[in-house]
Amino acid sequence: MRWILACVVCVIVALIWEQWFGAARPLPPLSAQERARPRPAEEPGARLEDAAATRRAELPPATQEAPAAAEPEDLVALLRRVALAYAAQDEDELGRLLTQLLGHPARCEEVLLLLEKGGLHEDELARSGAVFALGAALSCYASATHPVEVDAHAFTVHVLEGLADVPPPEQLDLADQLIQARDGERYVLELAYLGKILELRGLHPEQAELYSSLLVHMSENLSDARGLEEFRALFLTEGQDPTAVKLSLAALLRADASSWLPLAEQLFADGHGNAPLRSAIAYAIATAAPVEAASASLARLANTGMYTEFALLGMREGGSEALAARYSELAAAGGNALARKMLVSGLRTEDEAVMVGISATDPDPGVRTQALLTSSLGRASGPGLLDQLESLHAQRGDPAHGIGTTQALLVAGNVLINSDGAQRERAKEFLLRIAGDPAERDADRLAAAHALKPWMPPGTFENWEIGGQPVK
Amino acid sequence: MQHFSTAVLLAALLVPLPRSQQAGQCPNVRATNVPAQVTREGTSTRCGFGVSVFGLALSIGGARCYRNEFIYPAHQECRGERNPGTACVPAPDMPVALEHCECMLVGVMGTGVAAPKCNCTAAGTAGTIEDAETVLCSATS
Repeated sequence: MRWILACVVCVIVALIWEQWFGAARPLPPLSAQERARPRPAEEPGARLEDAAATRRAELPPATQEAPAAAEPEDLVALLRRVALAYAAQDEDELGRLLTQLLGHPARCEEVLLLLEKGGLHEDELARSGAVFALGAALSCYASATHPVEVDAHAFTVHVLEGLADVPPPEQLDLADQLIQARDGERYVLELAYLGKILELRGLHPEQAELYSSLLVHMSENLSDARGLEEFRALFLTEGQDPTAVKLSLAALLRADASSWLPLAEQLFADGHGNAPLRSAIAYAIATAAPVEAASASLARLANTGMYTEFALLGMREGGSEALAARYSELAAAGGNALARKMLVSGLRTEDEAVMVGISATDPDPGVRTQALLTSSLGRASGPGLLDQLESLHAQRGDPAHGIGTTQALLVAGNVLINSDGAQRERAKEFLLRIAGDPAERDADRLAAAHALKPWMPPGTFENWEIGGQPVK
Repeated sequence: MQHFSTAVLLAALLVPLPRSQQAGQCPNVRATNVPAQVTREGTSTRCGFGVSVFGLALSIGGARCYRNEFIYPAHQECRGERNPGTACVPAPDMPVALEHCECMLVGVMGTGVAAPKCNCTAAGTAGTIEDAETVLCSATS
């Protein structure tokens, strides 16, 4: 018992001692994070005020101050904070953190190492921050006006080299940062990096498409004979890499379409069954060949997997006119209905009256439907289009003049999404009529009911049955 | 027993048979599956936001956002793939959807913050793509 009492007394004495004298103990050592905090630039009161002011003026602004050297674990914490500041859209905090990090190129190199060696393997937030930080470093170091002493070209080359070892999904994100990095209007990955990228592409054949994708802005802004020669070699030697073909062919078509277009069409024909390669060739033609030559070429190659390419051509200056001219030629000759359909799919900027006219005169039901689909896509439709839709559907039994119910439903669905007011109401009535018509196919009636459902009051189809099944 | 065998016979006749190829010789090919595909139109913008580093205006992070995306459904094509006793024939066309995309601030679940993301919404049907199917050749072919 005496022992217990003695212990209690000891504890009380220790507590009192801590309360009164604990504050006199030396402070614990600063943590690395605290050490990394910006320090005061001036020693207080040790200089004459005018001399101090002169020195202060020579110092960089407070935001540009770099922290003291930090431990590796601080770097990971910093990357996490970068990702969090990005997610919270805290521009000031993000700018401050990146300034702190980018002030030390060696730390950015360390970030790259961490990313490529799997050092951030289990830390998604830090990985995300690392990608953002490297993207910012690429743009920042490429600028002529930043205050950091760094070999920007060497840093970019290190990132290019490290890219092969960065695991997915950050690999694609980092490639995207490389592609998008720029100083003002100038992309960082300019022609000076072409040789290096092609070398790395050869060193990592399993990642050839990834490295090819980095050439996109070089291909678009090529004005150099040597670069063109490199792209010609790439096109001729890498015929099975769709990205390389797309970019190199686009560069060659911009420089000399008449020489390269026949070869492109031959490669397209040889690529039967290779959809990505065919798509790459068609994309290059649509975006890079002169619009008249491109519309003629795409009409020759047309298939229904080329909506993107025809739309791209239609958006280029003079593209819509070139597509319309080619359509008129084919319509006059009465040939190639599939090519006519795809040419019409690119006429998204044409007036509704023109598209309604095509749907009234073209002899093929697929082209007639396409004209109404193109016109009703992404813009409000007028009464003329609804009149034509109902007229064509009324003649659905005559393939030479009408369009089928399945096709008419698609057009009405477009009007429903993109129009409002009277035309949307007409589209609703049209769909409701089909949904309730027992003479129509069950599949079409169900499709009409499903298209309508989000636009009708709840319970509209509560007691409906189509083909013996309730409309859910 | 007689009723039972009549019922079995009727039932057998009523069961729908696989579509068959009536024309002359059987080509011995089948339809080839083509997976769904998304193609993007035009140049992209970046759904990030700008920051100032050493006084330089930089655009940070963010997904690439294309204005339009075409969505091709999974379908089948006749590519001459060998298959004894079947033929590849056209099937009804399938719709190709178009989506309009733009950068928007989208809430991140459970964090209370919104981040810039590429947000796509349905714009309608851009056109139709040909489909195909495999059918049995008729017994006489």
